[in-house]
Amino acid sequence: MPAKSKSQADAIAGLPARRSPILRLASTLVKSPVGLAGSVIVSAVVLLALFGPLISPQDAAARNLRARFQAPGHVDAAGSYYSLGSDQLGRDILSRIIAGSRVSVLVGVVSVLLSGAIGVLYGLISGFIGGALDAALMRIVDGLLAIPFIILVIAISGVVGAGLGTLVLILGGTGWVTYARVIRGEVLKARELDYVLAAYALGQRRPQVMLKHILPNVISSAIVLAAVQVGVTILAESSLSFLGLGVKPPTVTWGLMLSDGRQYINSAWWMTAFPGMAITITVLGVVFLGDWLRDVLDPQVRGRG
Amino acid sequence: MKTARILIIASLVLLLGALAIVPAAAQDGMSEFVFAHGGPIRPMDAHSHWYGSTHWMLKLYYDCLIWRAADGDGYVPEAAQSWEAVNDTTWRFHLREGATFHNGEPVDAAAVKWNIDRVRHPIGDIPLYQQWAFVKEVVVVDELTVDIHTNEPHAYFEYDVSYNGCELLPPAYFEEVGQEGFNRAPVGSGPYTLAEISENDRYVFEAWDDYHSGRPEVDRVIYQVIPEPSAQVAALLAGQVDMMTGVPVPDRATLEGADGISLLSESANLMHHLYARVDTESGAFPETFPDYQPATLDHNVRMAITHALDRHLLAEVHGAAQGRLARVCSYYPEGFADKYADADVVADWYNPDMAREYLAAAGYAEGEGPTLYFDTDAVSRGGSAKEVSEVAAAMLEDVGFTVDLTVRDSSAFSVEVSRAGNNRDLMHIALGCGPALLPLFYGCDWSSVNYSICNEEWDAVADAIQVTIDMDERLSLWEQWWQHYIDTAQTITLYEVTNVMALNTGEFDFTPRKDGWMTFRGLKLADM
Amino acid sequence: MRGFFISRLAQLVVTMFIVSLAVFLIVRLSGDPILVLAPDFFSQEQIEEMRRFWGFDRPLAEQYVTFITRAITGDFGTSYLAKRPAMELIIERLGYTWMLAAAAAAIGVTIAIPLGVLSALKRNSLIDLVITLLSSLGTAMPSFWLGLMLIIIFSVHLRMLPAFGALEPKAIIMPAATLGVGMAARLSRMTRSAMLEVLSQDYVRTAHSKGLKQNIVVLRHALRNALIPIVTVFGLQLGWLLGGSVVVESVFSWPGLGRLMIDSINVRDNTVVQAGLFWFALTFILINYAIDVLYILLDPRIKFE
Repeated sequence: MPAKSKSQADAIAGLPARRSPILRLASTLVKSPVGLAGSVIVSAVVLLALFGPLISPQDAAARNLRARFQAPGHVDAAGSYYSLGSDQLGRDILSRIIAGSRVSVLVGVVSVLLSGAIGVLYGLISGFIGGALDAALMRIVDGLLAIPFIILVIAISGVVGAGLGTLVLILGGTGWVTYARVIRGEVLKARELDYVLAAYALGQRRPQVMLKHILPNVISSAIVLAAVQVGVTILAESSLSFLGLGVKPPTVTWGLMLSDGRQYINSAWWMTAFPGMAITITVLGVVFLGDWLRDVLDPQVRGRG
Repeated sequence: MKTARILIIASLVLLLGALAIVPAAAQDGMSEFVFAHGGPIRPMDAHSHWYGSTHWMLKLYYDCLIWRAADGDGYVPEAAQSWEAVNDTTWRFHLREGATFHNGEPVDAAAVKWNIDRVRHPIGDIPLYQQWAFVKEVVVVDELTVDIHTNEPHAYFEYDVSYNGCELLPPAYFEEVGQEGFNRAPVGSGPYTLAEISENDRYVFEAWDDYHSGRPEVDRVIYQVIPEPSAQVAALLAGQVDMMTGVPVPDRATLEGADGISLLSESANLMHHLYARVDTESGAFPETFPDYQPATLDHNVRMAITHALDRHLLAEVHGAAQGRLARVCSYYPEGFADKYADADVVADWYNPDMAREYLAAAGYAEGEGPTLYFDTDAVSRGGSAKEVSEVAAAMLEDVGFTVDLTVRDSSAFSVEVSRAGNNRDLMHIALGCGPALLPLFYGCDWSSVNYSICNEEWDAVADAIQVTIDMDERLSLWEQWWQHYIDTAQTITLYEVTNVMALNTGEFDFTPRKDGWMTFRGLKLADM
Repeated sequence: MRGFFISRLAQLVVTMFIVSLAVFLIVRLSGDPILVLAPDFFSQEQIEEMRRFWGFDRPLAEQYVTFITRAITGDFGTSYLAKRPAMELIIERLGYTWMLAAAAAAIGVTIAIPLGVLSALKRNSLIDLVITLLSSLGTAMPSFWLGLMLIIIFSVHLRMLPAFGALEPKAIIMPAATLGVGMAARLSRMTRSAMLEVLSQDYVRTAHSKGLKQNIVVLRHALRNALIPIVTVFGLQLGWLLGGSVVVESVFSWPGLGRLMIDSINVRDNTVVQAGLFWFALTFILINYAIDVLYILLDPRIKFE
């Protein structure tokens, strides 16, 4: 993969790019069908989350007890059209899917920013300082990684209680471990780079070296990892809400819609099928985007489930 | 190559091995009835909790002295062959000669005394002893005769003596193994013995040959825990289970159309209510919301709430329920308070204009009613509470309230709100409706975390009910009691839940019990 | 080599120590644990007595020492719900979870390795594209939703497979397939990239130029070398598998550890939650240890750091 190694080389050498990095990214994006598909899906979901109420066919919370459990394509007496069917209170599934995108985007973005910030800082400190502190910090990471992510999150939300804000904190507060491990590895590599050593020689102080020279070197790994984690987080949110440990109604989320749909799975398949598709497509978009970012930016990064 | 082949062969072996370990269903020609239970199932020590749905199962396994007849008409003998009131405060029970527990320990007068003395003292997490406080003393007359003396004449003696805590446990065995050992390997004296426990998953009972009233007709009864109603429906359709309760609304048509399956319905003996906060002292409320003045402290506000609710519509949203005004189920040993179950009375009670008037009387301008903080759990006992609460909130907003509804999952609701006493203006709650205990719950002696509603006059009526043996006199006391209940509008009753059951009538014959218990002592094989 | 095993074992013990600390602290996140245990009608005096009984009146450090000393002997305390030792309940369920995980892993490996190899060999072909798309889809799909869809198809409509439980051998098919698909998707992505990397290495090209038939080259040399990263990823994805089993067991009412965890979390049965978390972590760590051992068997050339 010559294209990859070139951009990688640019990134590692930290040479000033001739074109702006955004333009460069955009040009590779156009050439990559996967990246293109991913960014189209992701921007569509983000747009839905932002402008959902404007395009939503009905009010997502509007109940219509005369149109409960209607199959896709139902038109009620008042002429409202239920393209994807209605739920147990006669609410339009499509409108609710649109409304639900908001929580997925919010949880995905905010908790990943949170965990990314904690994890990068943790990994940076651990790798940069090294020695006994590094060993101790990494044992803590090992211990936390030993409890499968979703189980850890389930246990904590079970104990702490649920809600949108709490959930974001929990996902953010547990997801950082993966970054810490990866970033620390990258820092160890970057620490030995010639120009970092040169920076010391020029008398720069340690914090300065860490933030000015090492951080930019590891940030691309963090971005790739973040893309993977957005997907993992969206899936985790839906699992938790599905199990009744995540976001609570009347907030609309895809996981909650699935949890409702499950109760009526024998007669109203549309209540389960469509919200699940929404999750799958969204995460697929994120996965594509992540794959593309990895090709362009990176390095060997593996997420965990 | 070799390693890859080894890896693939190893994974195939793993797969086949996994398939082989799963136990195959019994195919030994014995009749086997599987009941889908929503769980969770509590411990086997029947005295340590009063979770009704666990007691359904335990009743297969344990005898009581006497028990409620399945058709709701009086009581039937179990461990006691006969019984009579010796005087106003003494009841005598005659036990069966030669009757034993499953382990051979005799069911004698001493065993009965041990059991009743046990439940009269605190065990576990429930105030069971308060229910049994009517007992003054248990006296062993001879080996097979035992007297129960009550403090005062007790109108609901038979009801109470066959209610929570009535199950007989073998004293010698229990004392030998302790509570933990007993929960692991319980022993009873009912018509079924326990063949297998997989905690909170599967409980297999087998007919006991030596049962005093004859071996039951169905050889094996299994309580299989399947938490999701939808999975229960699928299991029923696939023939994996023979019966389920609480059939979800949209699945009724599907099940009704299936071969060999019929729907049955009977009162679940469960009601949904809204609790309004009437004080600022009870539970954790004063610590959690020190400065909050609930709007519902105002009696006019509570009256506005009760008149704003269209109970018939809420019952329809629930899917299987009957609108009611008072906490009284259609099954009652005495059938009183029909008045509050009457469909027209309930329909007339819904009166948004009157609700608005009450709000105006409380000093609120038209359309500017107070904010009500309303807590509910997602799925309550006896069906979905969330949808009902959402619709109820809309009805309240129609008359001018602003409603702030918080939905929690059942456990969080229980821990954070109902058990802690953190309910603010309103909460949705599912409760049973036994006649004997009811006045106790609202009595001045009862400590409730959710409300403090002591009223000396009302309490005196409740006490009088308990000791009034004469039926007519008692009914008129009940009238007074219910009137106060309605006027207070603290417990705002919504509806009585109907239990919609689906049964494999191709193989089994079951008449639902009037008390709503899903126990299968009387289960029959269908006539072929 | 023995030194390596011993040092890894020591690391394992340290990790379990961190896990135990995390497990101990998680259930205390809720604040006062006694409020969950004490019934409504208890007086302040009774609550204090209960607090003493459970040892919650002691300093936190002392409580932890008690917890860990007992945990080492397998005593995690008594289940609040079942009134039986938590450990007993775990053991009743453990076999089912291992069985499910083994079946899912077997399905995952059997699908993923051939597909991943094929995809790498036919790089950039239509087959590669299809396999890559499918594996991305498998990663993006919430496993519990796939499970629900399988129930709709195979239990509700075709009535071929049981929708719940572990009462007959064929009951394992759907839960294992649900998890296996997710596992296969993740593994095949890794197999593909590991194969690609190995295929570009010199000795494979050398073997090729010696005139060996291509498939033998591929299988003997490349796969053998690719297995090492694949096995590592397998170890990491095991975390996903165990986590996924919690949600999938709940969907299929599979009587394993995962369902026990969810049931216990729902009733705040914290002793069982602690014991369950501990066992999940132990399983994860032990299998990854076994994988380290397998490493050496697969590639004797591996050097120890």
